[in-house]
Amino acid sequence: MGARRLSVTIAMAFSVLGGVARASGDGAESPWYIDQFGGAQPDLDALYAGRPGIVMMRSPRPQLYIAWRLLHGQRVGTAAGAALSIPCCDGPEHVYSADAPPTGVDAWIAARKLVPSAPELKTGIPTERDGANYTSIANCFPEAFDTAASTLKARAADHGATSPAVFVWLTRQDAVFRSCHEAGVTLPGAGEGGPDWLQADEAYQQAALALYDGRALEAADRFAAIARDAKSPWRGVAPYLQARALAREAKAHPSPAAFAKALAALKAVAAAPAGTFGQSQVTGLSRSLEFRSEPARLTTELLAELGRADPPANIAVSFRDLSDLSDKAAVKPEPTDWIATLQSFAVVPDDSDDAARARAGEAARQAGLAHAVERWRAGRDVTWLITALSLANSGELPASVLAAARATPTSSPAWISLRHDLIRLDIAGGADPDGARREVDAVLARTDLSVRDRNVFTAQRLRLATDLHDFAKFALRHRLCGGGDDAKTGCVRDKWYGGYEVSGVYDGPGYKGTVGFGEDARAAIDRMPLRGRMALGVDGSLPQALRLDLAVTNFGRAVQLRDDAAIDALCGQLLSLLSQMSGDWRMISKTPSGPDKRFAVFLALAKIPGVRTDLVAYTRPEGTVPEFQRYWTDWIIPAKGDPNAKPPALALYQSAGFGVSTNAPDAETDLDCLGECGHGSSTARPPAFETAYEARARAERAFFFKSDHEYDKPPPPAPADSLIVWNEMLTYTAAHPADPRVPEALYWLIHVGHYGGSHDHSGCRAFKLLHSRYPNSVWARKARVYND
Amino acid sequence: MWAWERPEDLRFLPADTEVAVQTGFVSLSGSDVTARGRRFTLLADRARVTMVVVHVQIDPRRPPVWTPDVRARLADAVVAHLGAETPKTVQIDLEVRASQRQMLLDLLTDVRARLPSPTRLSMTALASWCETETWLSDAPVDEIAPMLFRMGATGARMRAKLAAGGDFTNPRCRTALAVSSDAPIVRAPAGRRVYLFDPQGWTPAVFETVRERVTGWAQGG
Repeated sequence: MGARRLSVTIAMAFSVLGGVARASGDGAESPWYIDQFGGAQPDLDALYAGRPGIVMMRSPRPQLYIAWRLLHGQRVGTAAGAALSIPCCDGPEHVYSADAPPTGVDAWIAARKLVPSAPELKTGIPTERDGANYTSIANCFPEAFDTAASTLKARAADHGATSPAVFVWLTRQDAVFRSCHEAGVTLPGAGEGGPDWLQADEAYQQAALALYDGRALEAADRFAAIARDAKSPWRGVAPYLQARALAREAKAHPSPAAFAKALAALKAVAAAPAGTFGQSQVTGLSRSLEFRSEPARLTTELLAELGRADPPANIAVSFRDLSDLSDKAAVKPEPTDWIATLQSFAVVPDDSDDAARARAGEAARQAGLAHAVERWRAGRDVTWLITALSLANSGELPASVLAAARATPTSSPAWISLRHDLIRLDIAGGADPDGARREVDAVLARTDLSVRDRNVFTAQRLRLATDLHDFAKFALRHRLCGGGDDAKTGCVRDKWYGGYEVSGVYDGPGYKGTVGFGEDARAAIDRMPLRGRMALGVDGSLPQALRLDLAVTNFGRAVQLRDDAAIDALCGQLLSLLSQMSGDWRMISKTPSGPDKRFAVFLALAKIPGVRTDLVAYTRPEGTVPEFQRYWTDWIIPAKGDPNAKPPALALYQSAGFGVSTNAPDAETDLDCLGECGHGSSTARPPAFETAYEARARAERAFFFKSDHEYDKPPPPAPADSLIVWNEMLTYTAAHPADPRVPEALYWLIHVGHYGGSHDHSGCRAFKLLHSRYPNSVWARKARVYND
Repeated sequence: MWAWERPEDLRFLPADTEVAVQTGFVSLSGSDVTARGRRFTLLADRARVTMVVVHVQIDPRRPPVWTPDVRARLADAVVAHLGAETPKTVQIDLEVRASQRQMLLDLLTDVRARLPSPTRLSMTALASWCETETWLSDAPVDEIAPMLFRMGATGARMRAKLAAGGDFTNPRCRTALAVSSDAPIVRAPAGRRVYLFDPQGWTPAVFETVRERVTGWAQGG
């Protein structure tokens, strides 16, 4: 195939991706080369050090806040970056460790062993209370267990581990910790006197029990009394615990008076002499109250704290507070307003149909764009420039905005994100392809791109491919966060998503591999005519597994097109690519055209359940022939093409069809960034030449009869005069009883029927023929029942 | 119907459907046992919620240290996260490697010992365990639910066997099975408890689709 023809083929491949609208879809859960969570550790390190790369709307808010800081010259660094890259503030998990000195519950359980008569704990110590709707709420924290453990050691040392009073103390403390999980626990032997130290401790234990049992006001009063008791060893910690009890009460029964009382108690702790117990907790606890009682004042305080050049110690908590407050505020603070505008997610009722969702999404995009432009004009802040470009479709941005974006120096941390959108808009706007290609090549020549960003720019470059080899060069994407082993990659993706990856799309077996076709490349390949696909299939720069994908889908197309020359050529490739079936490929190649050859071809089809005419619907055959995966389909070869046949919707490629409505118009689908980057449309303007090849692909598509159907719908009727593959196989087997391949062919036809791919009960018919004519064959023994 | 940990509203479920709610997450990493309860709400008719599930996972990066102490802590952590009410059935969801099978058996034994006697104990199992693993017969459980999804290389064989009217080799695996909404099974033995999993979160439409498929098995489909 000559170079000119190849370039024409590629141009055609993209010509169907036309139209301008809002990039849609819910973003990728399973695709594997664009990670909105920042990618692997080296890329995350670069991010934390100051390189935000492409700012993606579907990154989590805290990671977008990292970008906000960097774009404003504020530092992030490894510790703050790591804290902002994982979900924050979901409460403590209880860790029982034997690798280090015991702490928390472990410390308490270990300390109890000092007392020989300590009652055996039948189970561990649950520290959560049951909440509403099957939730659990953390109630007791490790510090309480640490304190109890050290107190028990001290009391045992002072009074003897076998002392009856120590035993009483222990049983009371057990009761306190039972109340972490159980309601209504009482302190055993309360009020029965005993040594002074035991009575002082009893007062403290009663207060703690009241706190854990939800009687916060009673707990506060008890701690206050302890604070006034000059003899109590707990006098020093009591003021803080009183404040904590009042804070719990304010949260449980909110009122201005309750908040004021709790905040005043916390202020008193803060104002106490340095070193007073609990002072380090005062800020966090006060903020948790102010979050509810004084949101405006707390917002101002958080903005000041987060506005400093260096990240504050608890940056993730502070940002989470700011973000949550912002959600409730009538006017959002600048950083969270920026994030909300960048994301511009439409809020629609759950039962909205696709059209209503699309309208709401477009309205949100346009509103976000107008706001971003207005904010940029107000302050010339580059973050708003990024947002404006991210939300814009071609032709929508004022010249001044575009000029500012183009004038941004390459040294700016905003440059990569702006350049990505400028190239996107240029391509969509029909800019000179040579110029656009030079621009993308210049970006790809940079050495500071993250793997994720390189994959995105590679997708843009693919749109500008000059010929098939150029296409092959930019069709591949590098896998990120593969295999789910985040310990090796450093990826944080699994902290946010419990998703999984599909298999059979990389260059390795199963889930293994490091590169694969980009979804945009797969869509383009599926829109090529057979000869273009076949030429690509022998491109030595592609990994063997991907050439197998091409060869098998090309085989399916060649069968549908009754193209024996193509079939023979593909059998030559499949001899090495799918050597498990080498006998079949040789048989097909050596058999002259006609019914005998068709039988050989159809037998091969019957053995590979995953064959389809398009990559998006196909499943790679892996392992031995019986291990090949996917359901068979009812192969039907029309006599006349269907002029209305359409290629698969692009939404099927984005995120492998997960989370994207398959009704989404092609123009709303983003195959460059898989819906992660921004709402601005990435659809390419179709090239205006060589429609002859587009016509050829369309003409071929007309013969790709698709019998796959939804479970709840009947199969589509076969067009008149079609060649029904399984019927012809049955006819052939009936007419050639001595052909040694026939029993096996019948076996596979039964198998096809098991998996819903039969035609007019072809599986049942095959079963009857196999068992009536070849009852003692190995194939009959293998197929003892049928399900058709 | 499995209610995995994400906000789920299953109030649409019909009366003949039960809910297995995941209430606990327990992780074993070396000798560290980490546990927590459910953080997201499940809205469902309480009468429908008859089972709690505790998901246990073993950190692949740090081989487990299986001492008596760790073993006891793991079982304690599981039992501590069964939720507010004693359920009729507790299910343990733990996938183990070949070298860790004894740990799973130990855990099931220990949890069984900690549960009140009327409480049934169920376990999930990889479908392949029900074909080739004799150790499964020692599991002290009332029910084994083989999972007919994410089956890997053995999946085709298993599906073919079931589609052909076959059944799990181990008879203990013949009282329940589990399917996922995104991995349809053409045919499976009817008349047993079917656990339904959805990787995205349940909606009425997805539920109805899966329900129709499963009902089809009973009708000989």
